[in-house]
Amino acid sequence: MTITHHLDHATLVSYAAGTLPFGLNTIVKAHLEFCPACRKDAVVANEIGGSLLNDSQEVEVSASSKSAVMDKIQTATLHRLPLPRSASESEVPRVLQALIGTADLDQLKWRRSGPGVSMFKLPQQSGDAGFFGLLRIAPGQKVPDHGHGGTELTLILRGAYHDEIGHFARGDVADLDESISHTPTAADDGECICVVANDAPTRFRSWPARLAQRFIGI
Amino acid sequence: MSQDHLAALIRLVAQNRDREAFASLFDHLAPKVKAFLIRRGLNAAGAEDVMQDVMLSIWTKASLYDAPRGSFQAWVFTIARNALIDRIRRQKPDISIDMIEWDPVDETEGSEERMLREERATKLNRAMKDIPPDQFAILQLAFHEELTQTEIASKLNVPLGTVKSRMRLAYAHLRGRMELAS
Repeated sequence: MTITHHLDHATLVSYAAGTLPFGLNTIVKAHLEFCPACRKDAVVANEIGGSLLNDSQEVEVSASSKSAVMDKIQTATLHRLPLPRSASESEVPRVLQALIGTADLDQLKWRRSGPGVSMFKLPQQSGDAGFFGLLRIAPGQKVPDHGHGGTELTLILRGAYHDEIGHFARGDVADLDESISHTPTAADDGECICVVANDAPTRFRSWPARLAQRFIGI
Repeated sequence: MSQDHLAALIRLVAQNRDREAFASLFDHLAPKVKAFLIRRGLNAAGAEDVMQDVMLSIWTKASLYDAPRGSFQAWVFTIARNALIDRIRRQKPDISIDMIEWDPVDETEGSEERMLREERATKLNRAMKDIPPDQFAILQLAFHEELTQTEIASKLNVPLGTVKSRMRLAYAHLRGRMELAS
């Protein structure tokens, strides 16, 4: 897998701060499973958190806290270094497998949501706006021209698509904001399956797509 | 306390289960961790409680500190943030630190490389003092006030794109300074 499209550093900063909504956070983790370069970048974002913590003001700790902790460490079970996991052989990153309950995308109950496009919605967390789910696009099929209200992350799991920005293949992530509008088209030689999350409703350009949006819930 | 000193203490804990070293770490870290937890929205009692969990994790996970290849302070931050997410959202907080599952740990790493990591953290702490105020403010809103990018944009009344670009600039600047040869 050669990855050419990576996470925006701003996304990694929010990821390190622990403030990404659930769907976006899950896609970041999924991409990190695939991408050693972004794992390095994420370590730097974490360092920023470390520096800000180090620089924190101090708040007095109650006297009993220290003795409580010193007591607890006598009996606490120590953690050992986990064995490194081998890279996933499945096309589905582990963090997603845990959500969809399978490593086989063909086993999912896909729901048709338009010509050549099916969808599998993933659970959101309460209070999160926007879409989180898998899209399956038939070979050569276009997804209508759309923009985004906020941030949208798309991670390719199978096949490829191209749009105004470039060519996106397995492992690539498209990290887009409200300034970008695009018309992704699946490659001719095979279907494209990707996982998509955004934090505000998608904005389709054409009225038939906007009308359909009411029914398909993207 | 210098980054090197802190790293030396955690290694004493990891290798010898040195209670005195741990007690020094407690004195240095507990007030900072508690302050961080209060800024992120816990009340004093809750912060005291989670702080104890964080300190206990530092003891039990001491031998994992080297694994993410970051500095000691970044490791402590990760533990504190994850404990907080665990408490507030009741969500499996397996971000970042779980990266050690994908990158095998380099057992041959010598003390020189370790010192280099702490040196980078020291450089970062210095660089943090001179990033432009508008970038620093955004980092604080994210890491300390726990605001999303969209929330930061509406709080500061700027477009989302501005928040992202300030984050990118801050990241690039700080990384550059961290990686600068001394």
